[in-house]
This record gives sequence, structure tokens and C-alpha cells, in this order.
Amino acid sequence: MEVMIRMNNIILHPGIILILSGIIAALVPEKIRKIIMILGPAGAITAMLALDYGTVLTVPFINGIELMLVNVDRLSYVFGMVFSMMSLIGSVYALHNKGSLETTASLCYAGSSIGVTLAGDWLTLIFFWELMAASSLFLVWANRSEKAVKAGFRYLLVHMFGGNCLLIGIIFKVNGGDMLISNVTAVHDAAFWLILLGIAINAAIPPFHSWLTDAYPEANVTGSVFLSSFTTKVAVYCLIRMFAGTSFLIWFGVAMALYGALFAIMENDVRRLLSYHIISQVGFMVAGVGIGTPLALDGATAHAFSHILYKSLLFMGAGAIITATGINKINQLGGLAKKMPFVCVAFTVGAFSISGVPLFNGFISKSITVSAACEAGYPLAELLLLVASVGTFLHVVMKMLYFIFFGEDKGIEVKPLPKNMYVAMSIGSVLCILYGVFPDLLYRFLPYDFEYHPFTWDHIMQYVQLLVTGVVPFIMYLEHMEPLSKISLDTDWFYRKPFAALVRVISSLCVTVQIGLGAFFKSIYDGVRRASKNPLVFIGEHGITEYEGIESSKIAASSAASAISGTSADVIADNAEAVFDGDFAGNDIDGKLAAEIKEEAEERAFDNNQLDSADVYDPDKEREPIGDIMSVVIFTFIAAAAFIAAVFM
Amino acid sequence: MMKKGTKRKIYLIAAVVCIVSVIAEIMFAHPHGHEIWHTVPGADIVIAFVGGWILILTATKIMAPILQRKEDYYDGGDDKDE
Repeated sequence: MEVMIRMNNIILHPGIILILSGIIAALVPEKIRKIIMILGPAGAITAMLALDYGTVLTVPFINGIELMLVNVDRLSYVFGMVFSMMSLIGSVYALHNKGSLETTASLCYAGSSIGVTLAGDWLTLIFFWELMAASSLFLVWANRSEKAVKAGFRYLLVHMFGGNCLLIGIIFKVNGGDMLISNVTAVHDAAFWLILLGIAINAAIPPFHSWLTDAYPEANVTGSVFLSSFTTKVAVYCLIRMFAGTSFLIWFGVAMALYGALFAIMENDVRRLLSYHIISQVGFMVAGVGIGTPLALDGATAHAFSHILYKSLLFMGAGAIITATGINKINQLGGLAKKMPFVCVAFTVGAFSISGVPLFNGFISKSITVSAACEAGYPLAELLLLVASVGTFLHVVMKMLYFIFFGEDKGIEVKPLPKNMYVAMSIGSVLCILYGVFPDLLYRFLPYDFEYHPFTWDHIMQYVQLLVTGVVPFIMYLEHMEPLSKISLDTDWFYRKPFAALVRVISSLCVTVQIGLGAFFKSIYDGVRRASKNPLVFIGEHGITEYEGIESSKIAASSAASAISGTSADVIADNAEAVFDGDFAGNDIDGKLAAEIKEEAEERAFDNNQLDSADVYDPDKEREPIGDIMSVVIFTFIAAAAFIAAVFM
Repeated sequence: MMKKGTKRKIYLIAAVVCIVSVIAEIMFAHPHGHEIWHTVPGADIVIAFVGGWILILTATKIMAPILQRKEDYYDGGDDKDE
């Protein structure tokens, strides 16, 4: 592939602008940080607008390799643009945050996501990919709760595994001479499967999805807004770029769409329910990638664009509810429509968008994928995606709106929200409606040429019938839809229960081995230590053990103590242990220690005027005889030294 | 919980909207597929009702008894809910 490098204008990388903003935000005071939180994303949007299709930026790397930091085409442009927009909306929503950790993590996270999107070669992609994983981890940890820390560690493990799979696949590619990112479906080799696995984990394709529903609800409400927008959509971008037309992905996508809908029906936690819904909606995109026709790929791209906007709006609404009430369980909420009317309207806009109600942005994108399934000859996939759409309507519009805003008033006290939250939700709501009413604002940027008209009678009537009829089973089974104070086991159960038990067993085995080996190596260490301090240990039948050495020191100290005041020799003998450790081999008692011995002996003598005969130290009583006369001479010398030191210092 | 009268009103409104949409579909829509749910007017009503019904019952009657646990399950709570 011949690459044309445009360097006639300075190319600013939107992702790097965000990452630098994040780093600067960590170093400056709060007031300046708030300015950077707006200027950084605004700069990224500006830089993104300045990029033209075909823009390429390369930088030299090692061994003559050039990294392609920027490679703009229609696909990367759409994703880069919506990521930039989302970084601004998310930053406005989080403007009231005090700490710098979350700000830095969120800007680096958004920046690295754009970095992946604009990357032209594999090495650049994996660099930003790993940076994205690391920064998103700190977004989870920014909550600092015990649950968040634990969920963060699980998130880290899963993403390290996925990242390493991707890295190995990329190494295979690079070794094979493929430096530039391209569709990898031609050969189903190891690189294909490893790269697919790495991306599938980030796309939350079951059974690799539970990191999402585990970690996202544990982040701060502001962090969740960012988290909901980037990781899975970056993975969708990569799937479109590399795996378009991989037909088995259709069924993974359909399974995701239904799986998320089913688990969402059972869920009680507001943000976990929305997290399940991310899985469901990403399923539509994955199915589109599998179908692989231009219409389907555009549908996946458009739906990712719409999804980022309406899902972030829903997370912002959920965050507003949690901030205002301190409650995140649906069964503890109710009757909030009157108390939080603005949030109710914004949440309704998001809920209508995600359900595909005509004139909201979900309709103009979701219907493309469904139509593409029909046109590509996958009627069953189309049918199941329609059922998943009904499921979406059931649990987001009916369940969440009904139980949170219009259900029984639980008399919850509502705290006022920061104004920036209202501003961010307003921007999100306006964009959802704007793109829903004027779909060409999005369609003209889509990467593949296609002709699609969402506002036809059959499309509109189809969704009207689906959504209106979806109300009926909800009302019929209202008592079953009421959330319970329970959690649902998911695939994370495998690594949170049996795998954790296995790790505990292995750990205890390791500890046992460690103790055994430790004792062995300690005996070697002790021998070496004794030998280094006093080579005379090699002389005689038994040598001088540490124990004997200490005891000998005690004799010396005892003699010194007796000479001082006739006080309890045990205290002095204990201190002699330190003397032994300090400088036994040199036969030179440290002056300070000797002074301490004297001082302590005097204190003890003051406290105990009479020595109890039992307290008198009897060396023969406890110790083994030293089997070498030379050792006795040495210890006698030490005793004399201790005596002299105690008297004169 | 929702009153019976309210439920009845909702059913009525849903029925009216569905009837109107079927009429509109017959009069104005041009189906673009060949499957039965593309050609028969109002087929999406059946899909939505049956699909929604299956989803709710699958989640609440089959999955929930098997998969749901107490909220403190991962924090040392009982293995199985009572």
C-alpha cells in the first residue's frame, strides 16, 4: 500500500491532545483543571474537524519502522468524531468533580480511544489499546470503594488477558510483514483468532462480557458515563475494520442482543441494567459486522455513533438519580418524575432513542442493521433482532421509566444536582433528537455507499407496532417485572467463585512449599552467616551455633551487669542478643549498645533492689556446652570487653 | 401496583394504535422482504407480543430461579437464596 504523507499542514492528533490535557489536569489547581476539562475536548473536536480523509501522519520508530499515528478514512473519522464529542459531553457532566485522578483518567481514556481509531498500523493500535485499558482501570478505581477496587482488579485481569491475546496476534502479523491495519479475514490463522479474541473481550461478546457489568456500575457516576462510551465501541470499530463479513459473528451478535435483554429484565441495579443493555446494543453492531454488506457495516457504524450518544445520556440520567437520592436500586426508587422532571425528560429521550422510537437517533441506526439482515438473507437473525428490540423497550422504557419515575412514590429525599449535569444531559438530549430528526447529518459521514430511507411507512409502522405491543406483556406481567433485591450470576461467577477457590488452594500449597523451602534456605543462610561472622565455627565438634553465640553473649553481658549493680541479668542478657547480632565476630562491643546495657541494668537495679535467685542467669542450665576451648576463650574476651565498655563508657 | 382500570385503558390505547398502524401499513407501506412477517400486515404485533412474552417468562420463570442470589452473595453471603 502506497502511503501519501501530508505534511504541508501541521497535523494535530486529537487523541494526543486529550492525553496531554489529562496529564496537565493532574498537575494544575482545580480551577485551571476545570478549564482544561473543556479546552482539551474542544481542542480534540477542532483537531478532528481539521483532519481530511486520506490524512496520514507517520513518525519514525526503531529498526527503520515508521508508526502511522494518523490514518484518516471515513470509518475512522466517524468514530473519532463521536469520541471527541463524547469526551466533551462527559467532561461537562464531570465538571463538578474535585479530584484530579478521574479527570486525568477520563481524558487519557478518551484520547487513547481516539488513538486506536486513528491508528494506521498494528503497533500504534496496541499502544493506544493498552493505554485505553490502563486509563479505564483508573476510572473504575477512582471510586475508591472496596467493591470498586476489587472490580477494578478483575477488570485489569480480564483486559490484560485480552490485550495480550491481541498483542500476540499483532506480533504474528508484524512478523509476517503486515505492518498496516487491514481486514484479517482472508486466512483464519492464529493471528486471526488471537486478534479476534482480544477484540471480542473488549466488545463484551459472551462469554467474555461480564467484566463490563461487573466494573461499570462500580465506578463513579461520572466515570460510568465515559466507560459506557468508549471501550466497547472501540472494539466495534476494530471489528468493522478487521472482521467485516465474518459470518459467525452474526449469531454472536444476535445472542448478545438477546442475552443482554434477558439479564436486564432480572436486574435491579440501575447502572448494571444499563450495562447489560450495552451488551444487547453492541450485539446489533456485531451482527452488522458479521453480515458484512455495506448497508450492514454502515448500520453498525451508525448504531455505534447513536449508541454512544443515547447510552451516555442514560448513564448521565442514572448518575443524576444516584447523585440526588444516593440510591442505585430500582426497587428502592419510585415517583421521581415530579421531583426530578428534567432528569425524567432527559432519561425518556435516552430511553426512546435506545428503543428505536421514530424521530430519535436509535431508530435511524438500529433499523439499518435489521434491514441489512433481511436484505442479506438472514431472516432468522432479523426476527431475533426485532425480538431483542422489544426486550430493550421492555426493560429500559417500561421497567426503568415506570418503576423509577412513575411507580409508587417512596418518599425519597432529592438533593439538588450540579448545574453542569443538567447542561451535559441537555446536550445529549438535543443530539439524540437532532440526529433522529435529521438522519442525513450522520448518514453523509458513513463509510460505505448505500441508500437507506428510515422514514418510510413500513419502517415506521413496524416500530410503532413493535413498541406499542411491547407494552402489553409488560402490563400483563407487571408483578414479575418488579425488580427484587437480588443479583444475577453471570459468567464472572466462574472466576469469582470456583476459580478463586482454586487460587486459594494453590496459594496455600505455595505457602506450604515456601515454608519448607524457607526453612531449608534459612538453615543454609544461617550457616553462611555464622561462617562469615566467625570462621571458627568450623573448628570443633559442634561449632558455635547462633544459639550458643547468643548465650555466650548473655554470659558476657551477665558478667558486665553483675559488675555494675548486681541487677537482674535476664534484661542484660536479652540486650546481649543485640550485641551478638551487632558485632560478635569482631569481639568489639558497640559502645552505644553497651551504654544501653548499663543504663537498663541500672534502671532495673533501682526497681529490684534484691535479686531473686531464680532470676540469676545460669548458662549451664539452658545451653549446650561449647565444644571448643577456643570458643570459650573468645567469649571470655567478649565478656571482658563488655565489662570494660560498661564501666568506662 | 397499577390499578385494573389503568391497565384496561392502556390495553385499549395499545389496541387502537395497533389497528390504526395496521390500516396505515395496508394503505401506504411497501414491504421490502419476502418472509411472512414482511408481507402480512400487523405481523410485527405478533412478534412483539410473543417475543415480549417469551423474554419475560424466560427471564423471570426460568433464569431467575436458577441464577438469582442474595445481594451479598459475593461478599460471603449464602450460596443459595432461600
